[in-house]
Amino acid sequence: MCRQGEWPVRGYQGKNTEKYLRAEKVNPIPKSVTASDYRTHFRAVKEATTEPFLVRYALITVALLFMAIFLLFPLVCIFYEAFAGGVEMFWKAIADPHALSALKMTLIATVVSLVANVIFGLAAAWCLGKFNFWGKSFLISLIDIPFTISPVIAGLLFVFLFGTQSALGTWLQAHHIRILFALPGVVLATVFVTFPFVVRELIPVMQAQGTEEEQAARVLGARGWHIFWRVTLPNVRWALLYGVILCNARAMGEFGAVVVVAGNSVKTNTLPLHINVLYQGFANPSAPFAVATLLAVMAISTLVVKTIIETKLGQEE
Amino acid sequence: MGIEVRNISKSFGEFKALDDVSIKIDSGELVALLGPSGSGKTTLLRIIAGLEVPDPGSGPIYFHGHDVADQRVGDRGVGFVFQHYALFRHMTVYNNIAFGLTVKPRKIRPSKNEIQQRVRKLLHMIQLDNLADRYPSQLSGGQRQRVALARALAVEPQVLLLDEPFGALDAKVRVELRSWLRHLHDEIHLTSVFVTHDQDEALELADRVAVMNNGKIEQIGTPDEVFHNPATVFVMNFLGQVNQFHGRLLDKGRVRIGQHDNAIDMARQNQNSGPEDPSSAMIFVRPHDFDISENVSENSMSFPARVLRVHSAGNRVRVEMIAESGETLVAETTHQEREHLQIEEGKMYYMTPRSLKVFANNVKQDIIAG
Repeated sequence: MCRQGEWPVRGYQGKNTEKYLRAEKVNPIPKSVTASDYRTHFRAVKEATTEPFLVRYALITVALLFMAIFLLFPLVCIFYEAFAGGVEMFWKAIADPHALSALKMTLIATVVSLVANVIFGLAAAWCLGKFNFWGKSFLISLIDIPFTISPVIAGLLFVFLFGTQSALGTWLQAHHIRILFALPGVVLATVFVTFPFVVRELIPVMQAQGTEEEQAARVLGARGWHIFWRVTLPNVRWALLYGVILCNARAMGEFGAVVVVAGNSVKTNTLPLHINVLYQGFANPSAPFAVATLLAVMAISTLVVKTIIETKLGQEE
Repeated sequence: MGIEVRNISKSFGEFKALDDVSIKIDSGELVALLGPSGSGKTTLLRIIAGLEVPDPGSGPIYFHGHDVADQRVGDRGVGFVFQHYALFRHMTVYNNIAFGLTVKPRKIRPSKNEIQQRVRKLLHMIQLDNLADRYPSQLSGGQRQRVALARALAVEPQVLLLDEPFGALDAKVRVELRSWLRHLHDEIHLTSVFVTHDQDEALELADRVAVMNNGKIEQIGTPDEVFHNPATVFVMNFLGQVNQFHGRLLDKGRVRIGQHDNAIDMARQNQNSGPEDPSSAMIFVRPHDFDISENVSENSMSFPARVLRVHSAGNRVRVEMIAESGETLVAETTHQEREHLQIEEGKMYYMTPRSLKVFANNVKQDIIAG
């Protein structure tokens, strides 16, 4: 099985085994020692470095139970309730013009906030991650504001800013520009709430990478945009994608800020708002769940992409 | 003239990194900027490259007679090798080396074929022909360093600048790469400047060494000159091991170490040089410049000292001693000599410096034995 001088470590490979090998500096093994000797030896080492059987399994069970109750069960419920009224009712709820309009609103708001946040995120992270200047930490904490204030308050801020009680609101009304209770308001609220996700992912990566590669590119004759497209951007591509996915998940699900600026109109409802309306109403009890499956599927696919990217990121580092 | 800079100063806030530095580097020369950290050597290199802007009022920077001081870093035609390589981590070795060629403006960019040929040639030169498709993270430190060098050379620079080129490598690879770089330089004869804090590296590799301290160049000369004829106390102390004694210049051409009756007197020639006597002086003797003898010598410079410790592991024997006047010193001798004299802890010997350097107020004083 084992070649001379090679460890019979298959099946025993773990952090502890590796550490043990390194600490003891016992490579290569003498001829007289058989593989089974080493297995016994490793078992002893393994037992000495882990918790007792009972403790391990108790902890795992608690974790799994928690996940099942709080994550898996609600998801199953959504799908169960969605089909409780039969497949026909399910399709009816989804094909409903209001549902489709809400889906459209959600997609528009999501795409716009993704584009806006990628552009802003790259610019801000580049500035904050690669340069040192006075007031930098203040700017970084400013970026975190959407994380720290309640979405409902964020929505109210927009109502105050663009509502008729403000000078700006009066001016906008005089020029027939509608922001509140219309698509622009919904988009603005979504952008605001998802603002920090991309920047927050990019800043630490850019800080860690420093500016040496950009300097190298500059010495080699590359100009600004060349350096950005060929050096800076490729170096942060996975972090950027990760930020985009987090941003995407939040944009699709945003309720608090959007409900304030959207008003009570079927035209401006996004999926979460539409689900809420259906749930409050008396019509078809399975309808809100049917529409909710749409969001759930979108969320799950986001999760799958995120997992793939995380593995990629892990491999690169 | 390869590179010439005149009166360059650079401050970072209160800190003066470079203080009115001028240096001339001949075409095809390999010059080392040697100094402790904070001496300004990297700043000088980065200013030559154009990565750092000198303070206003600084003089010109000439590359082969052309002032490049107001040229952009990318237009100066420098090859720069960074201390931590700064390879593009998402590009293969091949693309790293080709980068400088592919970003050239379309008009002067070589054709794809030409680029490929040139990169292949460089890969061959750095002996990494079969690793063209690897990523930097898959290479060893020495391999990365060579890729960084090839990338810098690909654009056919006028001058090559290397910032601590072997700083991040382990000792063995460092020595290998050092001689490889020297051979390479002898082949391509590119005007080159490298920064190092390792004196062995500077003395072995460079045609000339500029020793820097506190933002100034203390001395520039061939390795032989700076090692055997240090111009300042700093250079004397920085290069190689040396025994340093505090003493005074006396009249009648002598220096005295210590203040007691049993102070060591040493003969001094050329009374006219240097400040008025008596004044404080620093006397330097290299460990290998001591003659060790069991008998009192006729030589007026010899003095008695007792052995404190003997270190015999190594090519030569190092002997720690204490003079009767209380000064400690280190002498170096051969194993043969040690056996012959039976040097052991506690024994007394007469020490005679074969050669010594005396500085008063950082001005070198001429001394001869006897």
